[in-house]
Amino acid sequence: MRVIVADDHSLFRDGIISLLEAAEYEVVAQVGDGMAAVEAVRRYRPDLALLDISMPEMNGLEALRKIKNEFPETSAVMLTVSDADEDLFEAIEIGADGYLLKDLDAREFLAILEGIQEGEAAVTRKTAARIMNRVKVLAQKNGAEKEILSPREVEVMTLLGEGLANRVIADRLYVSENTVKYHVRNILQKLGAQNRTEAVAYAMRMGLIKPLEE
Amino acid sequence: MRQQVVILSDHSLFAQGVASRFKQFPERVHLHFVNPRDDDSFDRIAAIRPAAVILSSSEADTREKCLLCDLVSAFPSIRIIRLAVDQDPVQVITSQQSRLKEVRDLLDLLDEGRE
Repeated sequence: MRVIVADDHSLFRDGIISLLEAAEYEVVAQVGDGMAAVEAVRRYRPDLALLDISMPEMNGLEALRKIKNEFPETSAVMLTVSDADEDLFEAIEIGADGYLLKDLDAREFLAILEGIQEGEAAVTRKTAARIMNRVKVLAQKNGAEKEILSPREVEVMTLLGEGLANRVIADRLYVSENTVKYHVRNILQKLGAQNRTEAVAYAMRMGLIKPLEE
Repeated sequence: MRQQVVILSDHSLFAQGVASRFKQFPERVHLHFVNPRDDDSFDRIAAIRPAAVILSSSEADTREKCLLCDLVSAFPSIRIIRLAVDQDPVQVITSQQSRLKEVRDLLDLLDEGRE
């Protein structure tokens, strides 16, 4: 497996490279910033990029975004000290194939890297548990939001999603325009949206209403 | 000359990485791994009589701190090198022993530290 290592902590980087080489990985490039990491991936087309998050010039998450945009087939794993939820979930959203903390046991690190070749995600069991919890919370939130809106409000929301004016919605639902305004006000309040456009976008994102078919 | 070096670590990535690189220099370093959480860690290190102890954690826990204090007391010339994954410069901790006859000597010693 051909690997690039991007980390501005040169001593740590040197150690990791030594470990990788001892395990018969081919380290094709080592760099100290995110910009250089992207360049290295363009030049060497590695199978795997190990990326620190906190790096000068361009941080690891930005580098990950560029690498995944240009070379989605390259596996990219974050190797970082950051245990912060926002970094972990941003990396996953961008498309990271793994997220490992630097305090990991070396044997576990190498075992996890082996798994990447089998298509496994490079995460520890602890991180996997955090990801599952996050998914559960989002699913519950999604369900709760569906419950928050009354069936009538969901109908109004759906018609708002079609871009209809209050008057037209009132005609469709056989209610007064004031009743529609009342529902819209409640919807905005319940979803915490500033205006109907924001409410529609939010509702579509959360699956409360479906986008219009072409 | 080959130095005896102890890595105080429970197999963390950083420590193992450094150890892996050290293996390329067997003529310079004889490396020993000691887990600071083992009950006999001090005795094991004392038997090795290392020139340096490498600590590979950003925050030494209380047990490690006590162990390091004991080591410095027992081996005043020992160097403790602290590696931290979250900061690039490594910290090198050294100690010295001085024989003082009077308080004035102690004052001189304090002044030395200010230079």
